[in-house]
Amino acid sequence: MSTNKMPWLAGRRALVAGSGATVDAVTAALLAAGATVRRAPSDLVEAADIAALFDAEAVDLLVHGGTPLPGDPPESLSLETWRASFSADLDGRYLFAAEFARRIIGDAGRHGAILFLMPGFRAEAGRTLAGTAHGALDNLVKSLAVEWGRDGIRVNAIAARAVEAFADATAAQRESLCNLATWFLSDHAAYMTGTVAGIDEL
Amino acid sequence: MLIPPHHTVIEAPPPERPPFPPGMLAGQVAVVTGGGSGMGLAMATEMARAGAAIAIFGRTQEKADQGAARLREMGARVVAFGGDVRKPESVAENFDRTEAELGPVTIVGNNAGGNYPVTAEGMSPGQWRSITRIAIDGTFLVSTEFARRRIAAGGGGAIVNNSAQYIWSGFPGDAHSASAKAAIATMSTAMAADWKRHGIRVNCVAAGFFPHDFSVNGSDSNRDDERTGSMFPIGRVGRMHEFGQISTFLVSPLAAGITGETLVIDGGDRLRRQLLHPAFVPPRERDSLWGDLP
Repeated sequence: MSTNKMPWLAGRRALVAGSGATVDAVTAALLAAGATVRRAPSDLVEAADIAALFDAEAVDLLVHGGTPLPGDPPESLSLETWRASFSADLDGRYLFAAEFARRIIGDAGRHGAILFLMPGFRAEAGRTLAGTAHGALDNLVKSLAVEWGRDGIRVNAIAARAVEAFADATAAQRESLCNLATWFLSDHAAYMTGTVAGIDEL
Repeated sequence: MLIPPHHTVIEAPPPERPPFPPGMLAGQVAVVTGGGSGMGLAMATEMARAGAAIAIFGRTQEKADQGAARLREMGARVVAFGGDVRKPESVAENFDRTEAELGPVTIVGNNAGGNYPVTAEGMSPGQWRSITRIAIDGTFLVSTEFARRRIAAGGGGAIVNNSAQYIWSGFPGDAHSASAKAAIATMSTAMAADWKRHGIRVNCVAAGFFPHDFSVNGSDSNRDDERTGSMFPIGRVGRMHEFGQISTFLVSPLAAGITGETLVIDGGDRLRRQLLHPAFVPPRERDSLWGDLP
């Protein structure tokens, strides 16, 4: 899916959490750019389960694709659904990122990059959960970028319609999403952190 | 020592190891305004390294020629013209001259601009008009001249505009340029919407500190770069080829589906560092209007 053929990620070890067409395509792009890739489910929300993933093998690059969020009207959302949705999406992303960072902080010579894949923000019916999660994630990217800036850890996100509706995106949008994801994770983007970018949100 | 040795500061690969395949932009013709020096020259350099033929539009012929000489040393195909981007007839004339020598223009990089510290109340009407018109009118006139030609040719093409990291926060002591840079970003998204049906993509790069020979935010010494870099979460200033490369990425086939976007490259400069800050001093009461280096 990606059109990049350059080895931007040669020798880098990636952990990609999530499933679906977007995450599959980004995984393929990372492989094409020279990374080794391990996949993980994105609905892990227990710290011990997440830590075990990082215990198994060192990770230089973390991609988290989140989990689908229900589009129920907010007045009909149960607290259980609300909490479970955020736990899987927002909590999980934070816990993955924090575990990733703990392994790199203080480990001289290592550096890493985190990329969150998330839906673009649209104020429309049925997106209360998605919209709320977007705000939290957008801000989390910025906070983590500053907290870990001197640890050689960069944090960015792609927030795009194409992330959640990959099949509906044009071929160019799909390819560009993969190329931009690869770019953000590469050292060519070493001066980019705390960025939340779209693809074509017009 | 402003950056302790236990901090990790990462550099991008050097310009001699470009990220793009040779010839990625072969057959493309890129107009780069303000391309004679600084960030415009960085943009032109990386587009040329990716295979594009370059037309430098400079404020003067001499300035444009200086940039062109650098690109020719790389083996690039380049033409250079002086002119005023605030004047539509000057813009059109330079497009005509470019296309006569290189063929149809398919890429535009808008960099022409100016900047210096000045209080809003102390700025003359002429100062306000000069800076805002070069950046806002210049970007508008060059982009629309390009779009008219691309639409007449059947569409397609890409524009990348040079904006800044302070466009979301305001920049006291810089009301003229900061307003103009913010206008460029929103203009980019609006034009992207207008020209999407013609296959013309418009994107923007919001850049942080990229010191160069003509910077107004500090000298070029390595010592000052270190002091400047220590202000940022990433721990260094930006390197010119990093700015040129992300700009080149956006006009390339790698970003064929990206339009209406502003990508930030600032080492985290625009982000809040902490909750509490030193006591606020109004700009007019500071020793240095833009603040002091650490």
